[in-house]
Amino acid sequence: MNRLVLASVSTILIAFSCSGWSQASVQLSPMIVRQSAVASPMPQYPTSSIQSHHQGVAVAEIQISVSGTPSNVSILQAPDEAIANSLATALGAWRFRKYVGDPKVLQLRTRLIFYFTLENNVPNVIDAQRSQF
Amino acid sequence: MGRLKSTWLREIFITVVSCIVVFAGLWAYDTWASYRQAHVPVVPPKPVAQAGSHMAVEGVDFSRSPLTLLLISSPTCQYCLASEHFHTKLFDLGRTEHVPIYVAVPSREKARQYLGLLGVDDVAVKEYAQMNLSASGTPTILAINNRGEIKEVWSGLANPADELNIANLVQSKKFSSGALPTGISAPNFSQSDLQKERLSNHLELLNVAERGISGSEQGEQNIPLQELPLRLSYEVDKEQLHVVDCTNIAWRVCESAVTLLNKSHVRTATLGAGSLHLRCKVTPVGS
Repeated sequence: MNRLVLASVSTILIAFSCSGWSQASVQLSPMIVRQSAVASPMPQYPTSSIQSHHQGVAVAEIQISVSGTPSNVSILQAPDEAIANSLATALGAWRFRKYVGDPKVLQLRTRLIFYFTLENNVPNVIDAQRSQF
Repeated sequence: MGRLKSTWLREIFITVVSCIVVFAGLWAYDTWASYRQAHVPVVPPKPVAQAGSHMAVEGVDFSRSPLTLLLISSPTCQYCLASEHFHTKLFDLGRTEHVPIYVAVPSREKARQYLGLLGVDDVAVKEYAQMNLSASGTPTILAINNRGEIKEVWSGLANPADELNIANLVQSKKFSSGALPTGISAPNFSQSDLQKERLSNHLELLNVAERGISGSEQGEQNIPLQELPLRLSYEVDKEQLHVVDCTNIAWRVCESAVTLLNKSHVRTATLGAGSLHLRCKVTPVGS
């Protein structure tokens, strides 16, 4: 019976942590997040996308742990799948300054915007946040 | 080995029995709820109050004032509770300006605490059953003239522009003719205005709702409001008129988008600003 009680309590705790109740997540401006980046490798413009003349905006939602490493990257919009994968890979390698604000905050999140352009067939990736500095 | 097996069997048995008890409880509740619903007295539906219809409320003589307001509300409606501050101010204004304001609730008895918060006199409280018309949702505010004719209807959670229009009406006691201002510093188009404008001007329709929210027009450019500050310098042509589609977004989202675009010197208009009504469904009397 004790084991049953223990299992129930564990289930409730798991449910709480999965629902995110125990994790305070704060939405920050992309500019603030971008400025706190200490390593920010730019995404590669995939060859297949260049050959297919795929260009346009790519939007990523990034969650960052207080230690400064991305805990989750999801691509909300991208011209094609190859660009989406390239952006996700690059953002996964980004590193940010350690968060030293409110101790209740466990996660930071923001949306980052990139433009993949082809001018005269010359590939270019623009970090929209950086150009606003 | 045998002991371990019997322990596991016992725990599986307890789990199965618990599940059966929970499901039986849910089934019993569901049966009771359906039985209760089936035995609710059937009330013939009343026509919905709209501008131009004649309003009658037991114990209210509309001829005594050039303007009477009737707030159709419900203590269980989240949008009524969210509007409580404005409604309280409105009742105060009505007393100062000598404009009678009534509040209609499903049941006076069940709404006692809510009415206490509003600070309404007991004589100003009516029940839905005392009205000849119903509302499409709550909260709804009706402005009625001295012949009992409904002149204006504000349905749903009031936005700041609606609040201002209602307060102005109470102070001036004059009904407006034509469209009321939206409170957003941009021209507000209807669908037919938009079609006409499209014939004479090239314009871009901008949808600032989050991705995947249905109801957007064909050919709209979707830039969620959260991304607009960064994306507008890359994607919005300042020379063109940008019409923000506000038909499916809250007034505040629409206002924020227009403010952002105006600050960036983009020619801006809105489509259907203030037409989204956040309101609760009206439950039939007796349920």
